[in-house]
Amino acid sequence: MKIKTILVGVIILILFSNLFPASAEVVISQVEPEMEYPGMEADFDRLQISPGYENLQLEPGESKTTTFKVKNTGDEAVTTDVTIEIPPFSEFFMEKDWITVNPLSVTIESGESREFEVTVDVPEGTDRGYYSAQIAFTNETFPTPYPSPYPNYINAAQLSVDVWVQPVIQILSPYINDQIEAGKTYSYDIKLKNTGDDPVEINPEMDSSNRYFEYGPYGMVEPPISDEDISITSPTTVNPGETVSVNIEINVPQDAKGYYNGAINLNIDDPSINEWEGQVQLNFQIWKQPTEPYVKTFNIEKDSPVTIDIISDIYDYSPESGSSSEDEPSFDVTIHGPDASGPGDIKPTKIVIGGSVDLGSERFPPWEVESEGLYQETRTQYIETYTLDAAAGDWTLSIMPYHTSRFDYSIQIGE
Amino acid sequence: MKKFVPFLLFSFLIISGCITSGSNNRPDWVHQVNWEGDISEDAKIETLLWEQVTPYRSTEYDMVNISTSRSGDAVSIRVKAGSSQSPYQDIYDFSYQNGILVMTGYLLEAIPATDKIKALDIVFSQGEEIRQAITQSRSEPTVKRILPQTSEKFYKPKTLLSVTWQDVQVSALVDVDSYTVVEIWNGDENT
Repeated sequence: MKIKTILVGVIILILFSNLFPASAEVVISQVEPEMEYPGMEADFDRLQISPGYENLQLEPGESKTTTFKVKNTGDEAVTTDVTIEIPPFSEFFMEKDWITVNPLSVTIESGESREFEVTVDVPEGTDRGYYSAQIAFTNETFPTPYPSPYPNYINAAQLSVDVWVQPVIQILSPYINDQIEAGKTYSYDIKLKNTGDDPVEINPEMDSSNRYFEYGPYGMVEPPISDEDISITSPTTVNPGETVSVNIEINVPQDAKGYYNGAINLNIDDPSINEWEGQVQLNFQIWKQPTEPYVKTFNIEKDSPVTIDIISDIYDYSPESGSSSEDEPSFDVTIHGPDASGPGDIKPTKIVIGGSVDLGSERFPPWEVESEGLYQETRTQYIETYTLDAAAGDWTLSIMPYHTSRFDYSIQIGE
Repeated sequence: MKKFVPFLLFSFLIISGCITSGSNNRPDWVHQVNWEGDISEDAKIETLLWEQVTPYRSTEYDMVNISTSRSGDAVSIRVKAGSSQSPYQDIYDFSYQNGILVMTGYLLEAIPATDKIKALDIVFSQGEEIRQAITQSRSEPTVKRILPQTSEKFYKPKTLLSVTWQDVQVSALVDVDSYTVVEIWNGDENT
């Protein structure tokens, strides 16, 4: 008897647990603003559709059902007549039979709401891409002065389906961001992993199609690194389960300056990878190690302690960027007093790593306002402090920077 | 027969998904959850959290830390979620009072590198205005996920990505689905 009771209890528990399944879906309840049509008589049915836009991400062969809530905000009952319309202006076109709507026709009384279940079935073999459709709940359209090739329905919701396929080739270092020095050679490895069951061919090559150019007063500025300065060594095939390296060697010209951006198209023979996903972006800030130090002269009226701060920003390149910039900024500093006297080479008495953490005081884009109140490090600095007791007279400070293309300094005279 | 009953019960539990789904209607894309602070693990709050805490597209959260602090009747909740697919975290702030959970802020940067590249690619390929502006930048851009309730104020109620060069006060709001830059901010105004 006890066992039977336990069994019945468990079955009831199971039934109820499935009423509230774990779900990754987030329903953003939104209320579409009631539309106004100035100068027009409102002689059409008024339906409020929520959500007005739905985006689904599905793999070929997958199916998903989503719910649209339709409220009749008009004074009279409305009988729906659901129509699926495929916009003619798109790279990929959905077939109407991908979408099933239930119910198709139902009468919604004034002030009442009904839910419509929309099921999207993506057929096997569908190409990867973005597909869209309009789900019109009545056949009323906005009036247009000219015949329109595509009816603009009044009571409609937009449906977008992102058909995707898990890429067989994973690019483990999809971009390279670095600070590089003119006249030196740098080597980077782009790692590719084949997670599939078949060999995949690759053929990496430089691709300038997406390159953006800098413009100077006399037009476009030539990039500081040409394709000839970049050599690529790569296998032609990535076997199943294998991780291979595509090596990029960059010979930075002696006279290179400024900023470079480019891309390597890996030409991966994998239809699940879009054109831009098969590229590795290259972004380089080029600097040149100066041969002469920066020299600053200053005068001290009376014997005083002097404190010199030299400040440089530290760039925290993200881990996936393939950066080679492991060296942090540093400086060689010499200082000479009146008649070339003085300590000469001096070492910092203090090194400070500083930063700026913002909780929203700095200006952020309006769409990032929700991050106010959360810590965001906007700047990291490296500061070397030098101190000495200086005699009155003219002094010369020499600063030789390393691994940085910019620094600030301050000279504090007196306590 | 008596020996068979526990096996039958266990099988029922497995089939129903009670064990695989975890407690608190915990979604499949959450692998581990830690609670700390003034409130110990609370099933009701956690169920409400999973209605608003979601990873970016196909990513999964390997670790979710829920920290709580009570102030009177209200509870402040901070959720930090990390994924092996990104070195960055998603951070959500909530306030919970009288059974109602309200999101009070978010900073969502747990975006796979490939998606970040895709967003950058869209900006680079379409935003001539931005290309000019960021030549002055000396920092890497941040890429943050913008939730539909924020996006609808600027475009449509859908997930967008914000690509920002903070040092030069330039940002692009990107719709990855339609491969477009839908809004640009240059520190002064939107365009």
